[in-house]
Amino acid sequence: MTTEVGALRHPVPPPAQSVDAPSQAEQFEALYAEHFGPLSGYALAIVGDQGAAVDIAQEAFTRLLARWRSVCDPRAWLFFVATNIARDHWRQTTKDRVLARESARAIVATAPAHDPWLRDLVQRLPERLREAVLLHYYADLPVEEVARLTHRPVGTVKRRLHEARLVLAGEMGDAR
Amino acid sequence: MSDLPRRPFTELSPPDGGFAEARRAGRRRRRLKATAASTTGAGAVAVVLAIIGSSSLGGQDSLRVTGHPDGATPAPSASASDVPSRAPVPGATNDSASGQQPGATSSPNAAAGPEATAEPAATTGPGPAVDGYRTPDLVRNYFARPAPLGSGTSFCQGASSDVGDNTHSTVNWCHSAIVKKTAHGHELTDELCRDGTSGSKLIFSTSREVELLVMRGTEVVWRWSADHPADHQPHELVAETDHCWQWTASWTDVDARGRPLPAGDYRLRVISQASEKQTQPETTFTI
Repeated sequence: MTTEVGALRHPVPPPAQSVDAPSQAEQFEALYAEHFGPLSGYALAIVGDQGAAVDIAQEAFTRLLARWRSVCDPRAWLFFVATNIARDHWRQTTKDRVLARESARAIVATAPAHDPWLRDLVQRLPERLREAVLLHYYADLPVEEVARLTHRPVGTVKRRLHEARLVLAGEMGDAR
Repeated sequence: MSDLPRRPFTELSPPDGGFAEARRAGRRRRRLKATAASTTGAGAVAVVLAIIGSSSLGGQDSLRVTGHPDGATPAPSASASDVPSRAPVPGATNDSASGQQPGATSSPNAAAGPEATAEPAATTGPGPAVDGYRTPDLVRNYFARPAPLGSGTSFCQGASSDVGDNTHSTVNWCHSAIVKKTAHGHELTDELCRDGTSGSKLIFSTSREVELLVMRGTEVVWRWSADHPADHQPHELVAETDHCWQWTASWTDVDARGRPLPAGDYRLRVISQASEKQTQPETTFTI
């Protein structure tokens, strides 16, 4: 069915392809098997909590399947998504700690804490620099990929990485 | 940065049934988006945008209009009923009986873009040809991202020479100029695909959505808008993830006056009117 709209005509779009074709399901399964471990390890280093890290990795894969057809580089996309979910978790747990402190309640740990060395490192950085550092140096994504995922020009990402280097060099120098 | 501390990550095992659960949950979300988008009425587009926006990480970008490219006086406004009302359902089957059409919403408060797109002046000039030639109407398509129609140039990284510190990056869009030979000349296509992690929308302040230029060297020998003045008609087109908008003109290898062009090398340059800092992809072809 076509419609004249001023100077435009609009044929009906072709049918969408099903994402549940066996080959795509197998692809997703292979991706899950290959990347769940590294992704959850990355998340664990950021949030320091095993349960949360597993949840973050699961959520990233769930979102990937919801957008399967639109994702060009699944691995890069997974790490990008996990970084953002971890950041949100991070903010929420910080809020919880502040609230608990204000109400003089003790936080009961539900699981042994894992050394959040990566979180502690990037916490030294301003928020706008953290994402680039995590994705490029710890998720091993190329600068161009980080730029694409974060909606920033390549030059901006490079500038932020350089700035992060200077900040961390200063912080670590002070700590010695 | 080799001096950043680095420790091996402690990889965790997936939970029992984790893959199946991720798969189930992913399908559920996809169905939810499709169901929401199929809601009838004026709220359909708003629902789709809300779901895409709430479930995405990057949020929505908008490509804002640059304003009329060549300063031509707009013709009297077209009727609002000329603007299509709703985006197609993601994942929906081809159903001409549904009456669904590529979606647009009227946006009377859409702000005009801050700057016009620079273009070379057409040497043949606007206006009807001496022999009554008129540039053809465009066919507009909206569909799930397929393989390209033909050879073309794609700017999928959103690289633009004048991006600078501009934060309205176009990195999530693939903008392509595509030429396909036909029995009567060539099909000239401007294709704009959304490949990011979130849906978005194209915002226009006039009825004109694209410009197509055929060039030989630095000379513009044919301009689509020559016979299609832009009306003041603010509107938006929804662009879901992994979907494309395409505008195609069936061109008969003629210049602005309808005269056959000589054999040789030419370029198609496409310009989106929904872009603030916009690439102008080009592709070469031969007549």
